[in-house]
Amino acid sequence: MIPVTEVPAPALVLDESPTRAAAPAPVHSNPNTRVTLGASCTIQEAVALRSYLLAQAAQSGPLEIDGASVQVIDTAGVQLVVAFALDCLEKGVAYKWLSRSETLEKAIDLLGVGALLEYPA
Amino acid sequence: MSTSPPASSVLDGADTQQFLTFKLAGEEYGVGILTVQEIRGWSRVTKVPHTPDWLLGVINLRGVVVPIIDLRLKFNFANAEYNEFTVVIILTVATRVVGVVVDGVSDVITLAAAQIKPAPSLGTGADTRHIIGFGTLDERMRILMDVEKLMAGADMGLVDEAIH
Amino acid sequence: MSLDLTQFHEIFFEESFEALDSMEAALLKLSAGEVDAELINTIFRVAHSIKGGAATFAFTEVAAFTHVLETLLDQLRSGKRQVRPEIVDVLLRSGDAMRAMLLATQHKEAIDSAGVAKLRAELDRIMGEAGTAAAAPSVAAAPAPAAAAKAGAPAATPGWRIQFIPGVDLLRHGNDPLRIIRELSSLGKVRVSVDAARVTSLSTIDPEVCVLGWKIELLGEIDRAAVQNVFEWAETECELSIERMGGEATAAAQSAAMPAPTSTPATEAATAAPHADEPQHPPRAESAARTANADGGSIRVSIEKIDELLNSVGELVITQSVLSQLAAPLEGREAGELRSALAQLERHMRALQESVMRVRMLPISFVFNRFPRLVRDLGQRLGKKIELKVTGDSTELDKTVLEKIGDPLVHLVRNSIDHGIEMPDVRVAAGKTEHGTISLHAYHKGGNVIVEVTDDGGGLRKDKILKKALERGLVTNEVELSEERILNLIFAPGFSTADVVSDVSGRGVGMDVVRRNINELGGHIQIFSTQGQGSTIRIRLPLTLAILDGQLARVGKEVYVVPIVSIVETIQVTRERVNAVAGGGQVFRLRDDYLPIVRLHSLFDIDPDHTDLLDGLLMIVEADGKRVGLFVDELMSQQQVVIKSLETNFKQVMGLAGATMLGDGRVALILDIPGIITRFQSPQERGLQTPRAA
Repeated sequence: MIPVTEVPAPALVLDESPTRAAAPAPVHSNPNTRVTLGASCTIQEAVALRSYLLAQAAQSGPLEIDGASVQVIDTAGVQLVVAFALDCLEKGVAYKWLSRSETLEKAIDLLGVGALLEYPA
Repeated sequence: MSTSPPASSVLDGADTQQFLTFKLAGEEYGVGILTVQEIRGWSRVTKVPHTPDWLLGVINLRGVVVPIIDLRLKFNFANAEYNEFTVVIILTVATRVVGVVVDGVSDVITLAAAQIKPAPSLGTGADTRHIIGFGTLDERMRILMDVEKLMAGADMGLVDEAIH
Repeated sequence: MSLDLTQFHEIFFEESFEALDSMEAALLKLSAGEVDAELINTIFRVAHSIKGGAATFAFTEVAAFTHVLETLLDQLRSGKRQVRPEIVDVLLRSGDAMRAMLLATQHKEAIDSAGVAKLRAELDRIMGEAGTAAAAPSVAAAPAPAAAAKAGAPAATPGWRIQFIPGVDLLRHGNDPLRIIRELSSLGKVRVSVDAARVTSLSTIDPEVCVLGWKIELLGEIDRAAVQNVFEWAETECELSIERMGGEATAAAQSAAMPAPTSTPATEAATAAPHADEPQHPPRAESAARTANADGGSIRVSIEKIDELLNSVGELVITQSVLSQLAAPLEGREAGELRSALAQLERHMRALQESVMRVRMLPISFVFNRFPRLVRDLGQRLGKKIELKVTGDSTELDKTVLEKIGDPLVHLVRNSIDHGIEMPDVRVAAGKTEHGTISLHAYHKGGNVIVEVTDDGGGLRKDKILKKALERGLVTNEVELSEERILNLIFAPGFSTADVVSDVSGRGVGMDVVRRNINELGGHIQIFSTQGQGSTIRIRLPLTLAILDGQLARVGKEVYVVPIVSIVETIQVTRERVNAVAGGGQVFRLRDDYLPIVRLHSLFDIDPDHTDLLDGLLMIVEADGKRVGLFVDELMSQQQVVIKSLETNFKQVMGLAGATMLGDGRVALILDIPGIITRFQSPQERGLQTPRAA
């Protein structure tokens, strides 16, 4: 259950990976649409993550991205987030980051994509 | 010029020289063996326009365009025939490669300097600049040709005169 | 051991000239207002490495001057002094001076010491001024100014510049760039800039393929081996280049044995075509995405060696096609196998031939690179505001073509600056932007390279052209000319020896020379113009001079090759379109034109199948804007042929451009269409176009 929002993604809930099982799935009642990144965002989950983000990018926004629960992420995961951010930018769907886990922050920094993940104010 | 001594480049610096001899209209001729690259059978040539008739055309010699000259036509001999005995001697002249059609290749002979007599002046009419001299072996006389001079003739223009 | 350094001189000169090119490109970007630390670093590195090399080889004057220049650059780099247009100007001229000094040294000529001293005084003066204390904010990222005072010391930070572009399977095979960069960061400080230009939208992205690429600066004294080690598993699945930061040339001079991998000036100077979708990039990233030819190390090879290779391959291709023809009539089981093996051989041969041809190919940026400077300088002098747009500068073409296209292009661009783009006030009055735009655009199209020079200036005035042509007797009043014809008059000999001989383009070289140069390359030039909106000149060039697309045409027993580029069309003749003209010639009416007919059989004195025009074919061929109809018996196949010179072993022959080998091993002659046309100009055109030729 990498991505969890108010709309659950059943296919992902079946996943038994321990890291994922450990991931909290907070459900918020925020007026803004929340995009929540799951505990594991790696190439294993990439196909599902893409579908999830695709659905989120289709919303009218503004979006809030919650990256607090990310415990494992690789380049494939970061790249999808980048593609998501660029899509939002292109469509004019505003987003902001609620929080980022240390793992996520470090990955963004190492891959040098920080500036690509900021929606211009 | 027409009585140039045998001190031609072909003979310089050696006591004996080897010549490839060939037949042209019944006479025997010789060219320095070092200028001979290879001997080939007759093959179809591609005619090049605006050239004299003794320049038969060009052939493809392993990817290189090589002009073919018929010395029989060049020397105004009787009709030249092309059959299975017709031979093309490929010569390297200066930096160029040229093919020469002859009636047949005879032999390779070795001549000492003493066996080569300078070409006599044949009078004003004949151009003998390309003849090194006459070489005699076993009582037979061969006309020894300086290929570079032959090709450098004004009408040939195959070798730059500047080389000499 | 005393080492003979002279053997490295040529390498030093060549690399220095290349480095100066990239310095100039960087300076021009600076002058365009794009102040960024990386640009200043580039310029600094050039000066630094040339100084190092010059000192090594004891070219003292070069070293001394470069030292002063370096000091100023270091002040700019450290932010002690701000970049001003005046400084950029002096730096540009300093680059010229360094080039001149190096050239003089290379050719063992005297250096213009007086000029150098003057320039040096200017540099000193600038440095004497109180430094504008506030550093330009954009330069802030530059290294600390610690070593600024003793600029002689190698101030460049030690480290590696890594370019890393993952391949398609990298992620799937478990190689994670994130892990790689993390490992790099454990070796030293890393500065990462990402290239996200290939990232498509989520809906189309393949989630398992990494389309990000990185440029990584790894700072610190680190072994190359350690860096390579990090990439050990990924190496075969990515494009990777690892270069030492800073004085590459100095390193070469010191290690002496090997020319260092040269950073290609083309990519350094890739001024154009930044991806439009990159505004989100971090500002410090030198975001101009590197062109496809990622600099994975290079070696210098003399052009002769490549030509030898090309020749051998050409011969192989011919031998192979001879083999195929021999195998064609064979029968039996083995014959089939032989033929299929030969077919395979043919495919390999084509691939080999293409690879070898590509070795000779260089990006057109080598020529385009000189234009930013040209446009800037000339525009300034004429008081015009001009923006230069360059696209497709990574388009590759044969080195020989490239070398010969430079001058014509310079001429065309000059013309655009001088006659095309209007003065700012004129433009504004005409409702245009104050800035004029000149675009250079190169692209491939059907085996040709197209280069277009476009300006949004005033366009050509057809009435003026016609008037001038009448004055010069190039046309007569009674001839009604099509618009295309009128425009083409500017290519007529004697047309552009302009009455207004300006310093810029009226140097006695006319458009006729441009066209002749292009034609000599087997190319073609066209002009389009809309009055008030600008002009475009389109040049079509062959990819290479070694191979030609040919149409085989038969006359009697002979087969000739006609370059396809010069064929307009081929038609069957009808009686009513043929007219006899006085003097025995014949002309053929093609729409509004009367074309002279050239009978190939009489030109070359051979026996044709047909002598009656109605029985054969008329190939309409064109060169220099003139057309003739070439009468042949029949057309045969079209094929690419390898061009062989007739002059190698023979001499030039009127009407022939060279020879080639056909599949059956025979030689076929290639027609020289421009040469034939010149001999057969129509009396009409002779009268009109070259009135003073006779």
